Amino acid sequence: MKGYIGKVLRIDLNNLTSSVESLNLLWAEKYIGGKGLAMKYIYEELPPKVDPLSPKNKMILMTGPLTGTAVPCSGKLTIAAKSPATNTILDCSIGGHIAGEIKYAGYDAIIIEGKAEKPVYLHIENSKVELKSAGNLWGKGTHETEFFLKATCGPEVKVLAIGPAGENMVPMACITSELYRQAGRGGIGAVMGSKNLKAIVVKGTNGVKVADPKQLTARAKEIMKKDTLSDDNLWAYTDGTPIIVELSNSTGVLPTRNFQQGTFDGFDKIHAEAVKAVRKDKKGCLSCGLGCGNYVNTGQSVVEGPEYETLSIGGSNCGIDDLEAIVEFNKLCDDLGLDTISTGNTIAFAMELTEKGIKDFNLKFGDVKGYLKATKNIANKETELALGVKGLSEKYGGKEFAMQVKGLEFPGYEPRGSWGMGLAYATSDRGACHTRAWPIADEAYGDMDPFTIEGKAELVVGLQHYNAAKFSTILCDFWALSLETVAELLTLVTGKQYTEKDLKIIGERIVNLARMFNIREGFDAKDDRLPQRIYKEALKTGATAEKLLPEEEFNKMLREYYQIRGWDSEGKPTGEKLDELAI
Amino acid sequence: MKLSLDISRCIGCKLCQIACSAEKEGVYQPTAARLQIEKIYTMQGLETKVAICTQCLDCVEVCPTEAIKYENGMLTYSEEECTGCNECADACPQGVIVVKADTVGICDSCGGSPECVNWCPHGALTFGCREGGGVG
Amino acid sequence: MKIFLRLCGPLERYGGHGINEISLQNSIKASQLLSELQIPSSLKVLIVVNGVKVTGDYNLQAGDIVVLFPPVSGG
Ligand code: SF4
Ligand code: SF4
Repeated sequence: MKGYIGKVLRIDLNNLTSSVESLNLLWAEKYIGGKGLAMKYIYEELPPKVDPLSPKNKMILMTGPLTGTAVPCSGKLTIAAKSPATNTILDCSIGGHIAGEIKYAGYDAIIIEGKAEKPVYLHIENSKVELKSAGNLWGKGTHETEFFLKATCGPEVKVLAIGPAGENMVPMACITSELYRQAGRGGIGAVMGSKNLKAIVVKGTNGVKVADPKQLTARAKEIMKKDTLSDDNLWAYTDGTPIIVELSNSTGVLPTRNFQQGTFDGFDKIHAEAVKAVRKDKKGCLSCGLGCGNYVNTGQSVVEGPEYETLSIGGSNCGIDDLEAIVEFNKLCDDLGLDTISTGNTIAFAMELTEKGIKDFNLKFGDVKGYLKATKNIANKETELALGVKGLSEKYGGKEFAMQVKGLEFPGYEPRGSWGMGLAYATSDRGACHTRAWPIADEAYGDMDPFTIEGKAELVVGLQHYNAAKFSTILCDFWALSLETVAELLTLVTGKQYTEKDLKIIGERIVNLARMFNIREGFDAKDDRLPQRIYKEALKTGATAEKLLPEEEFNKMLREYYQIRGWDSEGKPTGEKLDELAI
Repeated sequence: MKLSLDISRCIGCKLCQIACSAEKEGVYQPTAARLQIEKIYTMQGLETKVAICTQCLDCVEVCPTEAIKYENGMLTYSEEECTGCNECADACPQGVIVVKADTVGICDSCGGSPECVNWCPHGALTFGCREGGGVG
Repeated sequence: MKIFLRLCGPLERYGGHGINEISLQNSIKASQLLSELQIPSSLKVLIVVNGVKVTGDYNLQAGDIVVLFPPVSGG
């Protein structure tokens, strides 16, 4: 199959060696690349129940057949492992230019196993692969690390790096590239830290060949102009994700004060217009005409961001309406190597524990100083907040309002104002996540009734298949394109005929494979649930006043979801389902 | 007629380079493109590094066999006449001449309708007679 | 009667940036306003009036503050 390089680079950190092997093309046919293919490798290569922070865990960097080609928005890289935050399977998606660079260097994937005795960084320049000492970089932020590596290895290299949070194996540690792009969730940075791997530096000067370059180039250009750069997607260029702040506030789904409210009085100090007022420039990922990145400078602090997740979870959810403070929080998280979603949630949870007198963390909603200090302390593991929301609630209580599923903290959408979103959080393969399915676009932001379970199970199932396929090719989440178009592009790239139906089946296969991994780790139906706050506590303001998601309704929706999926009442795929999907 | 780049519109997507390599070499390979545009973070912040043909004509001047010519406001290149001496690539102040096995890759404006310009999603790259040309 | 209109993101191209005052002869439905602005009907626009989401059937009242959002994807 064209589009693939056909090569995997395997790094053994125990022995500081590397080897090159063929990509498993049989698996590639069934799982494409990106999320799906990385998960297949993880599923096959990890023994059950490995400690995610032990040398036995593996970290897989996976590109896809579209990576590095002229297909718009194909600049993402999957990074997968078993998650130290959730113990589930974990795949993260990171933008910038690193994915293309790996492919131009001559690899579809990089598999990292074992643990180096001392801190190292991996330096790849086409076929030249070296592990070098990172002793001088240990303890440094991701920004200084990237600047140092560019000065040492050449300004054109692309870098993935962890900060102190990853080194300290904090379960909300991320991996950073180009200073402000993240593989954010589930503690992927802690996995890298546990391997004593500070950074990965890549330079690639080769090309990517596809089945029908003439036709692909012509179609990709046409599709970019007509489809990518249309009113349906250009919000990403004009505003970027901050546009969602006002949308969420108007529909009552903007998480506020640890999900106690769905609207925020100071929303207009942190919405898109406010961000655009301090925006200095725009930046996109490789091959992306949407360029969603907002480069802002508040005078105090610069960042590429803040994204909606940071503005909501690190803003309204912490009671903070000071954009300058959020930008500073964002920059700190990026530099220290922390996921802003999990970090913001943990701080908000600690604020509520303090407010309720359960445990005094000396943190108050809206307290900018405390919030910025807590962020630094989390990265350095100098506070119990480094346990994350689930860990804290197990130690001090407050489980009813510990906003997490399977150990992963909620992203910025209130499920009481979009009931399908609740199901999406409960059933996502890596815990509460908004990128496995985003039904809120049809619910609160669309024309479906948000406060009913009617049709939601089917909606979430379909979206999970759609996203699994899309994240496996790999394309960016922000481009709302049809699976038909994906199939057309994939056919021109690989030379293998793909249809919309094939992609739906592949999506379903990936969702089921992830489920099988999690079942092997001991997860079942009882883990597919939401914190009590969602079931029992009504919201008070705006479009979601007096709304909750009653537990019986949620359970009904979950049962229907299992049924549609062909899973038993324990949430386990039946033998027939697995046969049907050839897993 | 030459290329110009309006930095304020560029998002650093490299579609121009991808398109150039596809058009000229039949492969997707930004390093094989006859222009290089990168948005990169430095200690000073977000900077745009640009290398595009400015039509300074240094290459035309140094070419010993007249393989590179300047005609009708564009560069032309003849593979037959090129000896692969790489003098042009060494002379090019922009570093946009691609060195290949025994030939070179010159920005010939795609004969008047440059693919990089056609692809640029936000009209950052333009082609024409703009006074001064180059980077703005 | 007068209403106030703000278009978000790429919708600005249908009526400009910021808050615009619009005079209407008589009360019209929100969906009619969209077509008068020449926003293609195929585009799934979210209409918010005075901070609350409404459908295209909403009858605009004098003094209404209308905000129009484009469809978004992928959070
Ligand atoms: S290719 Fe280089 S040397 Fe030749 S005209 Fe263009 S900028 Fe000058
Ligand atoms: S295609 Fe246009 S926006 Fe993209 S890097 Fe090239 S000049 Fe910049």
